[in-house]
Amino acid sequence: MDFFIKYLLSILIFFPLASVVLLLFINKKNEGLLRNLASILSLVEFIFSVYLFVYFKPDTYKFQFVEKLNWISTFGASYFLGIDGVSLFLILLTTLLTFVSLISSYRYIKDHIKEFVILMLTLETFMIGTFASLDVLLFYLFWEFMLIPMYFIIGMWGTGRRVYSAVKFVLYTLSGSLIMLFGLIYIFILHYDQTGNFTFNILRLYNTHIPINLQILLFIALFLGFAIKIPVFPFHTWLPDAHTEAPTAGSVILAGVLLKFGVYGFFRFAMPLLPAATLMLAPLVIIIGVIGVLYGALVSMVQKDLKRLVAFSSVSHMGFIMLGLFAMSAISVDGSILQLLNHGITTGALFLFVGMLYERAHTRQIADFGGIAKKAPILTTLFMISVLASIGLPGLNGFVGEFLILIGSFNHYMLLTIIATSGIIFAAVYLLWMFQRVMFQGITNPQIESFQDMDLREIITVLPLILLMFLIGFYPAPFLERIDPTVVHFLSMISRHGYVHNLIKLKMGLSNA
Amino acid sequence: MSINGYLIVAGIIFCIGMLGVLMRKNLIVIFMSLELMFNAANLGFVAVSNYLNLIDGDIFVIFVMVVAAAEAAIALGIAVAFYREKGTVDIDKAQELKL
Amino acid sequence: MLDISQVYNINFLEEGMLSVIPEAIVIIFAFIVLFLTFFEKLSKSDNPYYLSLISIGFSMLYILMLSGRTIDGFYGSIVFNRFSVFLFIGILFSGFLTILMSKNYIDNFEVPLPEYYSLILFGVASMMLLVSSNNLIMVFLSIEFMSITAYILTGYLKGNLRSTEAALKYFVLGTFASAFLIFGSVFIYAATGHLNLYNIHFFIVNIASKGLVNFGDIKIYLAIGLILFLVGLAFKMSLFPFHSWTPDAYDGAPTPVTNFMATGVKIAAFAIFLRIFSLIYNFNIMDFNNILWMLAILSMSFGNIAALMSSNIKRLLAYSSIAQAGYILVGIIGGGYYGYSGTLFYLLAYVFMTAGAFAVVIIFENFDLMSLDIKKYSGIGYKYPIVAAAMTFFLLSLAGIPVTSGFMGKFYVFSAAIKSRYNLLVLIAFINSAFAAFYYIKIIVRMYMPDKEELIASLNGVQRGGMSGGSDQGKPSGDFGIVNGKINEELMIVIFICLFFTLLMGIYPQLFINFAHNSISSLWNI
Repeated sequence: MDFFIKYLLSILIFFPLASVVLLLFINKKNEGLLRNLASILSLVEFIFSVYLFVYFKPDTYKFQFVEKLNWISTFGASYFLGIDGVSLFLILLTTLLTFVSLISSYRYIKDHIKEFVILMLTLETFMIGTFASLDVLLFYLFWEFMLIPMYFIIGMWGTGRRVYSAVKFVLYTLSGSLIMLFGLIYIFILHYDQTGNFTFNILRLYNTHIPINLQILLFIALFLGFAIKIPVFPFHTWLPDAHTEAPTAGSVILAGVLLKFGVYGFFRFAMPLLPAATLMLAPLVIIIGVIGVLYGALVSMVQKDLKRLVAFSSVSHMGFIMLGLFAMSAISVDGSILQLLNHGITTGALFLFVGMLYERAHTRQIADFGGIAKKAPILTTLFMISVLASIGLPGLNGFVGEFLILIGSFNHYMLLTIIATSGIIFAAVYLLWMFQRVMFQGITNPQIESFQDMDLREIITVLPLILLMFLIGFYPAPFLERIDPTVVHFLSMISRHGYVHNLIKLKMGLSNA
Repeated sequence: MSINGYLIVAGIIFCIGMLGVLMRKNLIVIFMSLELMFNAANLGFVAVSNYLNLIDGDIFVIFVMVVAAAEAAIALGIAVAFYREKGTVDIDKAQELKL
Repeated sequence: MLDISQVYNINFLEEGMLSVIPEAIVIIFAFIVLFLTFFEKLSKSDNPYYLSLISIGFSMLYILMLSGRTIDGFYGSIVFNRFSVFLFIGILFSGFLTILMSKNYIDNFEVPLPEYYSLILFGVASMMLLVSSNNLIMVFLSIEFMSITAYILTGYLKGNLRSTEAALKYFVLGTFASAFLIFGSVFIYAATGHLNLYNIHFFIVNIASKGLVNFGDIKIYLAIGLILFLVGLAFKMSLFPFHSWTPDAYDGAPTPVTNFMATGVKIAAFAIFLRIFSLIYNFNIMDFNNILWMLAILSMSFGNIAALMSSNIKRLLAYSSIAQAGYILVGIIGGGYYGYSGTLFYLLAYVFMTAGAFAVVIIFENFDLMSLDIKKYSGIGYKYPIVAAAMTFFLLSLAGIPVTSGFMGKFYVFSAAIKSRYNLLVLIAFINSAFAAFYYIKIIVRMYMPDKEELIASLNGVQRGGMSGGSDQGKPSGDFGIVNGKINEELMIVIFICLFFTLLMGIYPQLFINFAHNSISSLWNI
């Protein structure tokens, strides 16, 4: 058991990969076995990841479950893993959503099952690796290769313009990543120039002294990489396409986990590495975030396609998270991180429901639905809960996150926060409107007449997510108490450079907008 | 006395050869121009070698001549193969590989 | 270390002879293979093929026994050191993979076999001579040796117009480049009075330390000579303004030979350039880094744009090799231990990823022009899962996506250039590699995500009919049918070797980095 706990992160990373090797040996015609085995293995993986939560010491910001091995000593790159309160929950979210999306696709994915489960599990390895690595080169390795399985999932099992969307997704994120890599290498070289040692250890790179002008340029480079992944407003155009055309499982992982990487990247790399630039450019980033909130909300209102609507609502939500993160008060950052989880859970659930509707009616057009409530009460109820969670109804998870973000940022950015709040109102409008048109009203589409309610498998799929919505909504303490020390430490790392902030503000006459 | 003069003459011959390769259409003439370029270098080597009172340059010249002979053999072989298929040695007729 | 001279009791020989033993083995075997022609029975079977493989193995063995030593041979004309060991291994691998690929390919043509294999062996030997040569005469001779074998191999398909034409173009431009090379040597000789690279190096270091200003004529001669020499080598490295032979020669040559040119010729040319650059160019004669800077950017931009527009896979790989040459050049520009070892690492990685890609091309090549069109790759991901998966990794490696050697190589050379503060260059290189990903991904799209009609055509052939091909439901129909691949053991061995090294160098590159570092240290160990 000691061994198990000590190397838990490695086990978590490589267990899916080992599963892939196992699955490779199963005949591709044996589809039932492939699906069941993959689901069971991903469930086992989730159970393993629960051990992380159990053995995680909540009262420290220090990295836990640390593993360190030499990897490429020439570059000072090592196999350096560790998690803090933030990555803990993101890993849990990843394992949970992988399991959920695997069992959600029993009906949706009909051909090439073997390739599908292999790609999903490979993707899981790389996602967990990205969250767990504390070495920049290792992080980048996981980060960029992750694109490839996702690209195949969108391109091979997507609908409509799947190839176009998949290629667009890869090229957008790849371009951003490469610019980001440029920035990361530059910091690595700067560190070498100052200390004479090559290292990719993020904890040591934090100590690099970078002149303010350079910090701004590097921040822009990293910003491009992370912002495209999030995606922040002007870089979001890949997202609706990829989300819409991806299969349900792909959308769930994309919205639930992949979008988190951008924010995680800011949290772990861009902001602590370049604190002065962060403090200086925070207002700009927040303005971009708030534009994203409004833009996402407004565009969602006019969507006719269910999936596109949910996709654009993600743009809006991610704008909110950026607001909280860059407001840089302890409460708002706590809220942002919690909201990351909430968004993963809620939007994941929404995509699952959209997928179920699509599997039954073979359409995603809102106008084609109507009157489902009578045919499928369970689906309607659970869908309602998810929609309300996404809107931010008190008692559900969305409320806690948004509330924390709003209080946290109100002091610093009063006007922008008020504007962002209108995003919540818009969210209520478009989500409830959509819900009303899909679930109630009369039945117009003959397909709906034979609409079946959720079966047991589908209830199992969404149940963990629904339970989490209530859990976080009513009792967020176990989450916040683990996130908070990390966040406080994160802010202390940035505010060491606080004096620069004030100086610049004086010079530029920037008031707290 | 300087060797500038010799090198300038060699340079001029080299340029003539170069222009020949670039502007002529007939394969045989192109091969001749290539030989001219090689020989310009030979001239330079002999001149420098004499000027510096060293022998390496002269040795180089012998090697260049041998190599040039080998090249000529290959060149004519390729030219013959080309002629058999195209019935001409006009290099502009070599247009199979344009896509 | 095992002392060869004692084992074989060759004390009466000059020790310098040891420096060419690896090449000599290959050359002797090349002659043996060539003489097989006289014996009809022997030459008809697979003997030439096996003999060639054995010779590569022997040579490799000798290199491993000699490695670590530095031997000057033939009055300093040839230097055997760790630098050449690294490149020997790359070149021998390139030759080995080429021979494996050729086995079934060349049988499709009515051409003599022993000569073919012996030419490949001569090519390997010439490249090995090139990377260990230390004298301008030797450089010229081995470049010519290498080029002549390459010309003949390119035009080897007798009666095939494309092959002949490729040889013709390659010959004219290659010889043109050689002329620049020797004319450059004239000026270098005129300036320094030496042909030995070390002597030239010492001469230049000497006058550079005194300040070049007072050496008017010498400086001008040296500048002219070095520029002409650079032009000659740039042709061989297929850098942008001197690339024009590349697509045609790569396209028309038999595909294994294309692979040989893309891997062997390229690393040999880059290696000798790296050697000469580090010994001679890198002093304040004039700012060569700026010239290389332009060449690198032009090569990668041109290569990528042209590759994007080509639909013939061999031409696409040819243009991509021009772009790759640009990336490799970034390492040389970066300079120092870091940059040069990065260049070596990239070259070795490049051998495996390119050879793998060409092996896959051979599988699906039907000896007509259309079979090279990337449209023909539609749906092979379903019919040939292993080959397609391997191809995906090779393409990802060429695109520089992590867990492959291509990423590590790019990371290595680009970070070296950033270390020397060539920020703009690296930024452009990064943008280029993002751009390049597009056409590599285009092929992956073809393989795994064909259009609906193409998919149906492919499914007819595969799923409903069963994998074994005993299909009664009809064949792949229409223009986009799935190509029938000719998979054979040799090609699968090539693919597995390449895949193994591509992934190993991408995941745990430390071994190769150490090796490259060691090799570079001997570059200045004069």
